[in-house]
Amino acid sequence: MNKQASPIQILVVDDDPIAAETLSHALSQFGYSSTIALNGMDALQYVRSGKYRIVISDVEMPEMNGIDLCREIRRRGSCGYTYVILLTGRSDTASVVKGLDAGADDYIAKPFSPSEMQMRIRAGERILMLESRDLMIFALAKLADSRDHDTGSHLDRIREYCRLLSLELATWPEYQNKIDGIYIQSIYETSPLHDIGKVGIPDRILLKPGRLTEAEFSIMTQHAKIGGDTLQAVAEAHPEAVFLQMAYEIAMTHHERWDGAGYPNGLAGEDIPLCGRIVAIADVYDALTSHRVYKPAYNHQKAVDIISEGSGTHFDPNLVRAFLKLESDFKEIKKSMNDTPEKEDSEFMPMFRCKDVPAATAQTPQSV
Amino acid sequence: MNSSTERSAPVVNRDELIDRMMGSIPMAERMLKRFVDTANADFDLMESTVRLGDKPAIASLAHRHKGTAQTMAIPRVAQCAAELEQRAHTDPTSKLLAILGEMRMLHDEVRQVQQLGLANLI
Ligand SMILES: [Fe+2]
Repeated sequence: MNKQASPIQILVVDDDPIAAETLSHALSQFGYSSTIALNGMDALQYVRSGKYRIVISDVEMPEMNGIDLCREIRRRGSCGYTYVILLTGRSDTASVVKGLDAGADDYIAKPFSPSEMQMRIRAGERILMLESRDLMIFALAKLADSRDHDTGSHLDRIREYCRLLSLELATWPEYQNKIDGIYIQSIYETSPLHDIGKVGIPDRILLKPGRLTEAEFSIMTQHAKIGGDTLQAVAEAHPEAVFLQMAYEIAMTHHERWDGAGYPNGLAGEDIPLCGRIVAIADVYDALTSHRVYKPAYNHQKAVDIISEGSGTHFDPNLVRAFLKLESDFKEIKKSMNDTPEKEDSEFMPMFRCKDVPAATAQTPQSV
Repeated sequence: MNSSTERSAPVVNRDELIDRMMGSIPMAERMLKRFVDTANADFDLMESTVRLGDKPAIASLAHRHKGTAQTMAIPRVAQCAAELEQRAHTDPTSKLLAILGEMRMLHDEVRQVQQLGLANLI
């Protein structure tokens, strides 16, 4: 029996006080603290307090039944996800279907078996933990990103582009062993961390509107290594957290180039981890189509042309093929998640030079 | 409605009850006492709804009592309550009262178990 106290508060909803108290007692033995609500309306009041991350509710209750309660919880939303488990009769398949349709996450047959209930709650805790992890990663990434991007959607788009490219590659035979559902979810969660190392770059360089000197540029390129080194240390301390390994690879390699002319390690071709190659293309497309202090936004077609020209030099040719197949979806994401409307006629500036790409290798502008 | 073997089984499934109470006999006894203390009022309420012919209320009360009896590992009472719930909309008052009568008799057995104490139940 796990008597270690869990910080998760559980709300037990049942119009039968004996059943509610029995369940609450079992929960306390498993280390959870719980509160009992004897009807749906009281339960909603408790849920509104934001204190309860897991709700275990009976289905059949007078006034507001468990299914309506679940629907209300989903309709109202809240700052965090509420995991709802319904208690149903053993053969009550109709209620189970209705409950899941109303947004319930799981169900337990009544009368509950304590060990089964504990396992179901643990499954719920895992879901809540994943959600907290994703929110925390994204919040940290946004915090780092806010220094040089006034508006917030850059990272939202990056992860959408990455997911799109990964989903496409997953259908190609040569990638089927490399890209699975976990890979796609991981790249979605960790790609926003690609520039986390910028926290170590001084404002005068990061926010400089004009050209960077060679010395400034050299400092700027450090962001990939700073982010990579930091995440590598965390990944090594937690080898079980596979997504940290991907976060490290992305931060370290998203400025590497297929031809080996990138930074920080000058890796080439398939020596660059696939996730780094995916983020590279997503990051450049977003940088090209967005306004920056040092450049206007280019229109979609211009960005497509530049990326296409970079096939085999800047970018992995396979990824450029995937990008070209998906380019209208990229345009759609940019349009729907755009906080600074770009001018369709914005022109490419021939003398443009991106801050973190030396002139010698600046055929394809890069993001910073 | 019950087979003779079921009838000869103890009215309270002690092991199941104690397992649900996480091995705590005092907790099991406390909840059993609560069940015994409230069951009579529950039966009275069910009986008056039967006599008044309030079918949805009969079904709802029987459903709740079924849940409580299942939680307390009292399968025969749970089975009677399930039958009452099922038949509430179809059967005549006399039949429903007969089921209630059987539930009251089973309830007397439960009370005896409770008074004897779970520790003394084999
Ligand atoms: Fe970067």
